[in-house]
Amino acid sequence: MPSPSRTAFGLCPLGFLDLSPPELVTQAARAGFASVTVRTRPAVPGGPAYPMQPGDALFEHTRRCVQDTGVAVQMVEQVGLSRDTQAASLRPMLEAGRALGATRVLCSGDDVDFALVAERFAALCDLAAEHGMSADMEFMKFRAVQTLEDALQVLRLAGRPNGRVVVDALHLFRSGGGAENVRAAPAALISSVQLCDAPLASPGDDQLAQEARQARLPIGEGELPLRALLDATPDGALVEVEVPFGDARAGWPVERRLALLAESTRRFLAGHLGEASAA
Amino acid sequence: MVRSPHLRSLAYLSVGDSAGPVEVIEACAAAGFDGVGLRLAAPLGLELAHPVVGRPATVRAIRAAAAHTGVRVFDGEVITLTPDTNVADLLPLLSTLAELDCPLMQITSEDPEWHRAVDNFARLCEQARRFGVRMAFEFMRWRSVKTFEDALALVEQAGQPNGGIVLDALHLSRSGGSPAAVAAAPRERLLYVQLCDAADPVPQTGPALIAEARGARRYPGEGSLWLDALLDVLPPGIPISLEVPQPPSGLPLRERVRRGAASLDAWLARRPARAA
Repeated sequence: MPSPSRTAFGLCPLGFLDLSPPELVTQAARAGFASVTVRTRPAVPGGPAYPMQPGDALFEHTRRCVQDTGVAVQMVEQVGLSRDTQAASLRPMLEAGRALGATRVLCSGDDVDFALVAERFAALCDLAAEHGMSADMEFMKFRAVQTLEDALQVLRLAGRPNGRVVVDALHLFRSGGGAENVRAAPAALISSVQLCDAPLASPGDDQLAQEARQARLPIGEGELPLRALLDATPDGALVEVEVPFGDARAGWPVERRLALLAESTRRFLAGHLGEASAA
Repeated sequence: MVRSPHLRSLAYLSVGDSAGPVEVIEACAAAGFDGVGLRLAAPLGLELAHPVVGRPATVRAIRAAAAHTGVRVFDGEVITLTPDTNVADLLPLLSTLAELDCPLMQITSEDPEWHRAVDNFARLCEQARRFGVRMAFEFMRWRSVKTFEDALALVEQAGQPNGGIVLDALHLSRSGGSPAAVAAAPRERLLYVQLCDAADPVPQTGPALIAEARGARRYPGEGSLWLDALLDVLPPGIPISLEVPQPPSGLPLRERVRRGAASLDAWLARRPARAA
């Protein structure tokens, strides 16, 4: 059922990775986001991230901004699960995340051996459980865990009560999924939905990573059936916006980009924007 | 021909409701305009013939047409301040302006309470600034903010960096203003000029003035306004929006728009010699 009472939404850092977590929190607050995800670990080796641990300067600054603005840190990212992943090394990341108030840690599956991914995922779940957090698996067509069903399979293999999935709209549709796949999944396993828009047509499998990382559109500017996705999203799931601009707007001031994203999302959640109301 | 230092845009009223935004943008591109004005908010008591706000497919089509032609959406019209103005209600409009990458929004006032109008304008500017939009106040003799001096006082009292004035040559003339009155104003408050000419005699009644503004403007150089003197006192290169509504003539849209561009360009080309 549609959830007209859903009004709060969060901001993913992709597209805004030049902002440190304190800046991200402050700017998100100004634009009207209720929460943020902070990237404290790179998504790819050598990629941008803001590692921190409780007590260090970046952590303290971030914590003050969270207190001052009321913007919650919902999630910390990102853990690419592979043969080399050692859960114990992630402890400082989770400690800092938990101390900032985060209840989720985001991961992806980067090995085609799902048994291995599930084993690493189970270890991450156990570490997250120690911190009162869930471990959320994000599937992407251009990683090993490609589809919602892949992610659910990893969850089953791992068998941990705090293992969940993140549904990114672009990854869902580009991996051949749709709202019906989300509806078919156990509601309790859908941790969050990350919204963006895009043309309906895929740019081609070799372009998917590029599209996902730097060419998304605000809700309403593309053709993805986002209304159907939102309707299929369980009420308790976190709704976030993830839009790295790929056009000239990438050069806009942060404030202007965030104002546009917040307002288009607010209108969409209020039912005023999206394919259903298209002229 | 020497390229004009002015951005040249076509005001909404020059074509009115006769065509939708995409068709107008394409006509502007064919005629050589740099920008186009769109009616994004209905004047009080009117309905929009071509709604844009809240129509994602329309916004997409306008964005695509602008990108494809290089004609930018230069300004939107028109917000009217009233006693009931609620700034939060205007956020979808401001967001749409950002979606269209439109930098300017016209605003006028029908609020008889000066301080409330100043306050609403200031708060609207604060919100608009987040979306990268400047608010351009338009004075008209038959509205609450009637003269250039009124508009400048309101904008200055609101004290917002993105608040300014759109200077309509006809409204300046018909409200008793002149280029001399504009010359002393702070440059940064003069956002753009809406250019047209008009003939003598000056209408003497309210209805006659309104009828003139909506139906009897002329192309620059074809009337008796002091347009050269006006441009001389404005910032060099100030953007020009050509606002000359055309009577029903049976001419195709593209031909009407082409004539407007040709007339503006011819007038601009004559200017340096005159202005010397």
